[in-house]
Amino acid sequence: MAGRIDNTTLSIPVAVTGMGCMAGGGTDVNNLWNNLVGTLVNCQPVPDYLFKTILDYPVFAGPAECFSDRAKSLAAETAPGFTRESVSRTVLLAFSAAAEALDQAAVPPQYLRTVRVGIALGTTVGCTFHNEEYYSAWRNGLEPDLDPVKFYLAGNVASALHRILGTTGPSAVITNACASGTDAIGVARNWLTTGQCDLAIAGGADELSRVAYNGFVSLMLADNEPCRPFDRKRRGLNLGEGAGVVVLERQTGSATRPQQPLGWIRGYGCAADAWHPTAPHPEGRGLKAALRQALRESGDMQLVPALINAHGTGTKANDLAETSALAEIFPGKKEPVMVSTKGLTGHTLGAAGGIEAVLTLMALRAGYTPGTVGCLDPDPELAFSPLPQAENRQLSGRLGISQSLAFGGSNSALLLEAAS
Amino acid sequence: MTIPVTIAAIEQLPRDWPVPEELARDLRRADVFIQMAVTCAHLAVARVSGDKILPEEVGVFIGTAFGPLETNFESLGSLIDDGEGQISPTLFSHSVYNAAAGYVARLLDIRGPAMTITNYGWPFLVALEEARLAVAAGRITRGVVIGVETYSALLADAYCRFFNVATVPWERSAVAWVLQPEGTTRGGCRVHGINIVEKAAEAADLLTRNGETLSCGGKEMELPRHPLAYVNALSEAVLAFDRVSPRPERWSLRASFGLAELTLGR
Repeated sequence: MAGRIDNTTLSIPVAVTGMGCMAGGGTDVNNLWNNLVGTLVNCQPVPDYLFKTILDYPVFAGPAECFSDRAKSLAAETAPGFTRESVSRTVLLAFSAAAEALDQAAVPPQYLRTVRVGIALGTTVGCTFHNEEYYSAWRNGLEPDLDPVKFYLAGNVASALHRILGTTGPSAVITNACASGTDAIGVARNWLTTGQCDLAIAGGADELSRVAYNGFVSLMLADNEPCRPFDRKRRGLNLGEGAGVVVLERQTGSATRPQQPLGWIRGYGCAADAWHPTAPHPEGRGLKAALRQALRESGDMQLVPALINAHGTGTKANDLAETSALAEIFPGKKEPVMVSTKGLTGHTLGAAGGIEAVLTLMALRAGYTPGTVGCLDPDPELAFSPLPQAENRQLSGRLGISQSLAFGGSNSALLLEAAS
Repeated sequence: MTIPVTIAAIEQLPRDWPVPEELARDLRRADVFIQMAVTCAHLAVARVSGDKILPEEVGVFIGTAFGPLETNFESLGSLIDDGEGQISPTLFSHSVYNAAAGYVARLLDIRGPAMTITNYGWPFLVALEEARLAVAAGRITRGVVIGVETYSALLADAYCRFFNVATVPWERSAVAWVLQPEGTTRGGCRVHGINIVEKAAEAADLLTRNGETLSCGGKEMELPRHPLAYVNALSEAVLAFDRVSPRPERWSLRASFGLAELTLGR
């Protein structure tokens, strides 16, 4: 096991050296952040370039062209034979976000071939076979052309990025439903602290699919107006699509290349509700455990972060559970400031944790946060008050938490610190 | 703090596995993928000796190549047959890949980390390493690691047409390992570390796993061509660990999609 560090303590700092995003709310990190600051909401009916539907539940769709120019340039250098048609929309979203993150981290493509690169990405739709034409034909006894099966097998998003970048190293697709992106960053952090890779590309990516869209409608969890997280009149979520990716590197004196950290991963926690297949524990049992673990890893259980970027989907159950947990973890305190960014991005499922980690770090670096888009009249029954849309807030510190709750009762939290 | 981690129990679900009576009611609506994961984990945990462990100190880690693929297709079928907005809520929620981890957590009262990893390569080893790290760092005192595959009729048809064969080399199965800190249970060999390096591979190689080998101490064996073959082989190696001299400690998996190493010991 050459190069392996026999160390399971988490004392080695892991730096975020690059960030990338592509989502319905913005086509790169700065665009997304500026749209959040300016409350420019792009919630619309499902566009025809995704799929046709008679339902009127709006979504936050990514751009029709989700393969960014930056990503095209990178692919031309690392995989000259690569064609966009060979991979799914989820892979294109992930690769576009990764290209932006690698660019910001100033990682030359050739450097990636000289080190062990870990790729951990969360997804939900991105790992499923959802070619309706093939399935219908097969179900009707036909023998359709096998290309969609090959496409599915080539579509594991982490393996696909390894293939396009020409990298080798650990690979994982985390399928923890809506917490996947957060957990992927936690897993990549673990790989770095234990020496399994030298650099990691981590986050989440998900495209909008007709099955997921209809699934959330049939579960009566979707709102047919733009979502209103934590608002008294909230009625559910809007689905979105996108990708949020960070480049992570061990920050040690022996780093093999110059680094300019944007921030650090200071803690990560993951815990199960052990409660219900789709509904969160009403008191946020698993979330509390995940938050405590993330705080414990920071070495200061009494730490009060300046910002919580909540899961905040806009469903009745999520927002109640989440705020109940926060009220118990941070009782009677004016801080942390709690916001949700899903009013700008929609619920991007497996991508959410990646996108929200990026937005959390952007806010911490800026030293202030916009309010919760869509929250005009905060629900007074919530045990922990959100920052409503009409308010902005200067942040009192550089530490913040990005947290996710998921189907299956998974809960995850990342404690992030912005570099000064 | 680095705590030595041992394999406290292994369960390989037999071909004609029944859902245990005590779980039957809770699993009556679950799909086969969930039923197998829960049953296998339940039986594995029942094998472990030692003190009871608090729910908060137990985690579940699932590794799978194909996940609940059949339920995915049934959801798609429900959408096609029943129309927009009418997809079966039960099918849809069970088609989510971590539904099995959620069921395992709920029915075995596991309140530590719950994680599902979906890779074509060696997802069980990725899950095993996450569990090992969590135990070694003292975050949990038991990690239940599950490998489960149920495939699908569509996938089987595609395989047969792909390679012009009449049958597939797989059958649905599940394996679970229980990891605990050394000294908290009787026996069990240590897991020292896992290292995985994946590389790009052709779609056909991911499906056939053509040429995947497992080697130890200069001996190499070609594995059956399905995504739980390496888990079964490593399970047998662990179960036989003390009966072989010298003890087989360093295991290597090689395939067109990469290299994985697992180091066991006392």
